[in-house]
Amino acid sequence: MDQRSELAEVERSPHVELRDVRIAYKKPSESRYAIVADDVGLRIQQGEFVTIVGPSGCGKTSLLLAIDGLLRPIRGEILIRGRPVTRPGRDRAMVFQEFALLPWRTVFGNVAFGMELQGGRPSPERVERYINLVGLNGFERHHPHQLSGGMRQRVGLARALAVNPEILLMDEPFGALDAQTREVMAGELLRIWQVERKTVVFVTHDIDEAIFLADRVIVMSAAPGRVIAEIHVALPRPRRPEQRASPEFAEYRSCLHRLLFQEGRGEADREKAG
Amino acid sequence: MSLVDGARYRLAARAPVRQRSPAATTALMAMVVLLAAWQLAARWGLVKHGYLPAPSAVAVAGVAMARDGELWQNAQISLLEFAMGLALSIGVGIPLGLLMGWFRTVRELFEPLVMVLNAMPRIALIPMIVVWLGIGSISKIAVVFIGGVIPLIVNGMAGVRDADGSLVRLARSFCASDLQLFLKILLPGSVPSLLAGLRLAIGHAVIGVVLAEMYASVRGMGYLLQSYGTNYEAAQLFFLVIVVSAAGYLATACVQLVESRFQSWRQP
Repeated sequence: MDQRSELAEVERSPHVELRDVRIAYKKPSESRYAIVADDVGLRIQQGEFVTIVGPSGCGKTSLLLAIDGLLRPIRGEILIRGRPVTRPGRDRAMVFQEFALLPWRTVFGNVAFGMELQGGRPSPERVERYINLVGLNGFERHHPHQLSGGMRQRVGLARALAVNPEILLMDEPFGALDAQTREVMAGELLRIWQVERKTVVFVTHDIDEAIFLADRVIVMSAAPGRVIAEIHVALPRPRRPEQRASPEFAEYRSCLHRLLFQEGRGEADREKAG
Repeated sequence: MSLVDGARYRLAARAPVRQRSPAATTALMAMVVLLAAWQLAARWGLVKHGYLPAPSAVAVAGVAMARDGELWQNAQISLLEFAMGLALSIGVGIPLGLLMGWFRTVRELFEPLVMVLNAMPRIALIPMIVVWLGIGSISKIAVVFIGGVIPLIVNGMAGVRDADGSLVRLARSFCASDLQLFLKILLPGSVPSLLAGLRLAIGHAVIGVVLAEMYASVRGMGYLLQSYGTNYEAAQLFFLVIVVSAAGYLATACVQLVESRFQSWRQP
């Protein structure tokens, strides 16, 4: 293949592509692999906001870790701009459910952390810019234990954005927050996404959150997780909180609920309760 | 009604701060009462003379020892041996402990030895150390070292091995190299564990220096203790014990002060 056609290939290909991915874990005590996700095929376009919903244990977090390169699928492949993922890269940044902030560093130090790892000394202006973007100005010198859950995750988000990744991988980032803070954070995330325009893969088990944020919702079955549906969300952007109460939203909600409920009944019930 | 509630709330919020001083006062009062009882018991002859000297006698003996320079001369020597032995155990124990936590091979190489030394009453080795290193300061430093180095190794290893898995994953996700992972996550994460180890090490080191000097020496606090002890000069003996305890307590308190700084971010 000559260089030109290779370039053309890259342009045509989706930003992130999963081909027939199977993820499995082996416990040290057992000889056999336990498959958590199987036959997963996905094509995510540049700048798209994709959410993945599914019952707990369906391997959605594992998929995210695999896209980040922290976990290797035992079958299939993951491509980013046509190139296979083998390890974490600068083009991807992750936001974790448990925030994963360094408790001994201030907000400023935490936001600078990713930049520090990826290329020497980060410029204070740049760090400050992302602190402002997530609305934490004035809290630069605070330590994580002095912040509320929502503020902590703002730090996590700023840290990820500060390395200027092309792809933002978010693993139930608002899962540890109360319902109200969650909605505020979802709105904030969309506002920031509008500015930064990243490709976002967002894992959640909250149906409303999945609809509200997404261009496309990927629905997964109970373990071993497979993609059972993809739903394009045609709600107009920019999204506003009132849209959650609209009849269209309700339709998406009941559709997703039906899909999740058909698969693994007990699981879906638990999701709804939690 | 709501106003009263509000006032009560504010009082409740301030209570923990106020509690400190009554607690300190209580402790001080208990000390005073104890000392007074001790003094009176000795004065009224309730305890046989020579069994338990009165606090006043201890103070008098102490002043005399401080006056003629005997105290400071010997304390200096013990302090030096203590400081050098502790510095040596920090210099060896912390790096070795961290390496053992970080590299499996290093751990497998040293862990059996460390575990044996940890379980062993290391002080019992003093006679052999004297045979090997003589009765000078070197053998004292060695005793302090073997006392202090083990808790530092054990805690250094634990500090690295108990690192927060989510932080390790975070660093990996941001493409951290092994060295970056160590310097930016594992090392700062081990600080609380290392400080706890240092506190233990100081305790072992104080006992080590005193016992080593008691066993075979011609100077130092242990030597003084030994010579006053064999002559049944109880007042001097008590005074020396108090001085050594105070010094050990002071050193530990310094570490605790540093620890409390790090405690603040350990809160959930």
